[in-house]
Amino acid sequence: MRRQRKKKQKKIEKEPVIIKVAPFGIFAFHKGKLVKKELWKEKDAAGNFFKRDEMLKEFKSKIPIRAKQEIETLFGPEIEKFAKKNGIKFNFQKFMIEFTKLKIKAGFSKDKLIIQSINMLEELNKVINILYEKLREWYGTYWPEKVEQVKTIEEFIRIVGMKREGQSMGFDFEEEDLEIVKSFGEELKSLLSLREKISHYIEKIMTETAPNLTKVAGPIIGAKLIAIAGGLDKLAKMPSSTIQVLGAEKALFRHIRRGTKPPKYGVLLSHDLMRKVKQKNRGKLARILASKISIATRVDYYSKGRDIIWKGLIEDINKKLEKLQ
Amino acid sequence: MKITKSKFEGIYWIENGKKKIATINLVPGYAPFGEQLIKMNDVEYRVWNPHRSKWAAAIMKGIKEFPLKKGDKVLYLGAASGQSASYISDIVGKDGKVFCVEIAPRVMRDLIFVAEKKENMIPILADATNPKEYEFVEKVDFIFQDVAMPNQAEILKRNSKFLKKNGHAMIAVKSRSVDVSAKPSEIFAKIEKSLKEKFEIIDKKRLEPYEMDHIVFLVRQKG
Ligand SMILES: C[S@@+](CC[C@H](N)C(=O)[O-])C[C@H]1O[C@@H](n2cnc3c(N)ncnc32)[C@H](O)[C@@H]1O
Repeated sequence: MRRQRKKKQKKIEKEPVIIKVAPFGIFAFHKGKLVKKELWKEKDAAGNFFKRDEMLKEFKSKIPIRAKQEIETLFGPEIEKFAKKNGIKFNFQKFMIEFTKLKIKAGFSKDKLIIQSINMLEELNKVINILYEKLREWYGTYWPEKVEQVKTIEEFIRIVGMKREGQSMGFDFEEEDLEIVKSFGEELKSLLSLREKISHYIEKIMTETAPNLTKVAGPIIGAKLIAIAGGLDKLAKMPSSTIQVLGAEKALFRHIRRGTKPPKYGVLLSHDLMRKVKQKNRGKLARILASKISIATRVDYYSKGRDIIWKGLIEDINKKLEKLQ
Repeated sequence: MKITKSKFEGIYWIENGKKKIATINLVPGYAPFGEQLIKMNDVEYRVWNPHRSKWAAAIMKGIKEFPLKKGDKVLYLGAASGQSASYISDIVGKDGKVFCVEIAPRVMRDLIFVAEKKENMIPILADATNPKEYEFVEKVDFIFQDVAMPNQAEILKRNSKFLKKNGHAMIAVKSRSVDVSAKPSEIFAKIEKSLKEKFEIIDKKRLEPYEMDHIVFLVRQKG
């Protein structure tokens, strides 16, 4: 009963309450008079202004007058004068620095880590290939017969640095000559295990952030597409005809500039299914893959990785693939 | 070594065999881009490399005017990591302001470190094609624009609402950002025509040999 009466007393005012949101606080005016204010400490200003919708909600509920509320935002260097007049310490340039830092921080997402990782994996592959090639040559001067038998890098790291057995046309190494080769062999081995580690990591975060893309394109190709596009958001907004030739930018420019043949595929060429079709059908397969990848990516991006639809997409691809074969 | 005033405010000639231009360092001792600092008679100069800044290249190529003054307010579109903007900041000095608009967070990260030292540089992470995002910027005396986008003239027109009456703008255009297949001279002529609808062209300079297929226009807002 009492509460009801109290409510009745607080009549609804005709004149609206004007709420001004500034980078240093929120102010409510009614009939030209300040009726409520909330000042922020300089060190909290950027953070509070960044989540001003939240701050506003709370502030609004504390306004002592019942009336329509109109919200204005005060922003810009001229409010420095307003602050000064009201005895508030405020520096717009410093505020903008802190505010921009928050914007940068909020702009990060897991796909940026995918880009870093896939770029690192590509560099790692280059390093591994160079070291392998040079080390094969080096150890081969000592034991050419053994190196000749070894065909893969995995086999090679198991034998590199081993003491020779039997007759050899190789140069006779002394202890120290062999020792340094052995050290390189150990480093190469650890680079291979690093490659293993980062590949697993990429697969894991790809599955978390873009599960459908990961299934349709494969984790590595999917990650490469994200990296070339510059983010999952950018890839999601690309037409599938662009996705089809991502990774073939050089050929595309040559086509535009000199009228050479346009590329039919970029990184999609290394997709597992490409090996199942004839050369002349690879462009067609790339188009099919790109269109399904495009759908997968959009679903991943807009559902934040929550909707799972890849099974249908892969069935579609397989049906179309049968016709090509 | 000889240091002399150039005909442009805040810009100096440094002669030491080769001729270089420089500004007076607003933050003595600070050289964030590995630029050369030269001290003479208690004044520290920052060498302005025309291979790294299109405005410096335009000056080296003999642009007629560079009407930037101490205390000016500047809107800089496409500030990247703030390299060129930091020289503009030297010229306008501590009573001037440089509003640095840049869309890419990665380079903005570097610009922030520069702005933490140079208190007249104001970082704005925003899209220059959409001036609504930074409507709060006050009226400015000068706009520098270097966004490497196809519709440069259009972007400048959209931003000219920030420009004071008779304010100036300098705009750098790279032909390849506009169209990779057309001839640079044709592209530049098209942009010039479009600029003329709203601005008076004071001068233009091709930037070879400092930058290939680039041009800088200096324009004034029509009254
Ligand atoms: C050639 S760089 C600028 C270099 C800089 N003026 C200097 O000399 O130090 C072009 C910059 O424009 C930025 N940019 C491109 N489009 C933009 C847009 N719509 N709004 C703001 N900045 C943009 C790019 O991110 C890039 O950093």
